[in-house]
Amino acid sequence: MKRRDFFRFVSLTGAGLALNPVVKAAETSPLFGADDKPATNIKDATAIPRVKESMPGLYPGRVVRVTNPASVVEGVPSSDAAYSMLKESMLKLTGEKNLKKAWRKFVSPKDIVGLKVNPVAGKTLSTSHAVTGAVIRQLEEAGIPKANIVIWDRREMQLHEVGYTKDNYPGITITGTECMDEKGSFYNAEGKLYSEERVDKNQFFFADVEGVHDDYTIPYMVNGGKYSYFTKIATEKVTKIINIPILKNAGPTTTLCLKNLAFGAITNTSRLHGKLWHETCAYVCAFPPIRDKVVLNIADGLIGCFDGGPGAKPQFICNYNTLLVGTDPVAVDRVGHDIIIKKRIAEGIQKEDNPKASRFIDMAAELGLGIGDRTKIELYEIG
Amino acid sequence: MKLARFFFLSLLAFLLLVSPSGLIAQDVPEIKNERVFKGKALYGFMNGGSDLFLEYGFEELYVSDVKFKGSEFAVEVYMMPSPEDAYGIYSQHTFKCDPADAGTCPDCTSPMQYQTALGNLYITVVYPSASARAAEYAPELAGIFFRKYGTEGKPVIPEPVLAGVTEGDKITLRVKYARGAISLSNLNSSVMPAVEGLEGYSAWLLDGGRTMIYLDMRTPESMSKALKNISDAGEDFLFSATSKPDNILILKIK
Repeated sequence: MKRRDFFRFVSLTGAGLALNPVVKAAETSPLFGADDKPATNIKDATAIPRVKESMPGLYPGRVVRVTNPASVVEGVPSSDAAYSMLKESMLKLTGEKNLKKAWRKFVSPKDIVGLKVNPVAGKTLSTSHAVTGAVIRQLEEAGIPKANIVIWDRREMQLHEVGYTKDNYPGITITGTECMDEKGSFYNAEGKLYSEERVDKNQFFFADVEGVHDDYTIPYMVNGGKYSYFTKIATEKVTKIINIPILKNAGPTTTLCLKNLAFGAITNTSRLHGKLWHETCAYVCAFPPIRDKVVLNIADGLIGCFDGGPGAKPQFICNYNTLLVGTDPVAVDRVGHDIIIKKRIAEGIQKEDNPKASRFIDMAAELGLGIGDRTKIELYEIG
Repeated sequence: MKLARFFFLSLLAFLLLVSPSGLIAQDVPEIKNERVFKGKALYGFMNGGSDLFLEYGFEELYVSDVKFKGSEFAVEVYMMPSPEDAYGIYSQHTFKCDPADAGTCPDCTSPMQYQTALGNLYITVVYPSASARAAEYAPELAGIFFRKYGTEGKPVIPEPVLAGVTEGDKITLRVKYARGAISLSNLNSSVMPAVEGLEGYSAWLLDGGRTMIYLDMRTPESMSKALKNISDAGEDFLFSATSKPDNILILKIK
């Protein structure tokens, strides 16, 4: 092997090549999953009787897609547009003419309503304040007091970084499982992680894969071993959950409602990204803290991405100008998945959809969490 | 005249006092909210996206919000084990990124982002709006961070791959480097049957594998298994394979 100083070349041919980018073949990927599956405790979840509110909720298979080309203005999601789009979605979803009545089908003033947002990709690609703000306004108009609204995610620090702060949302609780004190420490005076107090060790997802974490990693995982504990935010603090994910990809697959809930509600997740990514997305949502509390899914696709996800890579960020709303997270994920894959094909990232990329949707459907079959989904398109 | 001079000096003193970042420190980046993620703690920054970086042996990430020459930037500095790994992770992120490659290191620009790799560092600079001014300053800012963290060395690209690169080519467009299943499947999934069940290999891809894949299997055992995989795949495998010394396989589309 020889070393050559190749970086000083002056381009003559580069422009031609730039117009003909390499098609990224996404037909095979570790994210499609492995054949040798570690054991899990999914049977514990399915053994617990369902309740009236269990997924897929009031409208199985029904998805409303509202599109508004003016929903992003100069790169910033419009609060007014988001409000109108959400209003139209809610009325269409429920068949109501009155917005308050539409919301009251899902929540009441006695509920503690948790808004599960997604701040993972930083300021450029988090659940937009336009959509979250629209949800809060309409909840208030439906009689839900601000004091009963909680914005949450697994990482409180990331919520703050992207602007989910007390200053921006006065009167609303902003919380996460993993958290720091004002000095930036994850540990209390006794040397214990603050986050340990925020997880419910009686409710867990077991998978026969060992999580081994060093000192740097443990604050973000909370615990190691083979158990992933549910956050107390889901098990104790909130009575209803409104799920507000982003329309984005995760490698050759997509990360929407199910992924936002599953990986956002438990600890010790890094061990689950390899062989059990699809299983985790589906299985965790089958446990009661999620299955029985999520009443509504609002996928924020005003701005989304089609590659580079789940992080934010600016060259792949796009304005879908879309909101997807439904009680059925599986159906919303299917519609959202198809939107993203269509965009990936159009952009030359892949040639066709691979059914393996949406195995988590099929798994969730098999668990009775919703409808993943395209022919059985009732899609209403507005705009 | 004295009065005018007095007013001028007073005004200058006032401006220096009230606006130090605007007048004095304009060329010095103002770094805010710096965060460090080491090893698998990267999951604390990007969750599932970490797997790709960890496959390349990611060591540390420094993330900060930076104010520089009147514009706001988000800078991420990834420390990788080697120049090859820094170039490799850079090469994973250059789709639809317009390359310059005119300086001493590969670099490219897309709307709102500048990316580059030098030595064992991969740097991305993101600016919140598609501002021409911010885009102009981003390479300079990356250079400041290269100096801040210190780096040296260039990736050693195997000669058979370099032989396919001609004077005037942009290396960012033509050469990519993978270090395992996630990175290789991202770049060319058709080759995956050859490395099924194997670990520890790396691959240099010329034109995304359309011209050549230089697969370093690292051990004789992995080399034997890869050859068996290719034989088992038969006609379905899109590439012809040529064995070279030191457990190297050269793959070319049939």
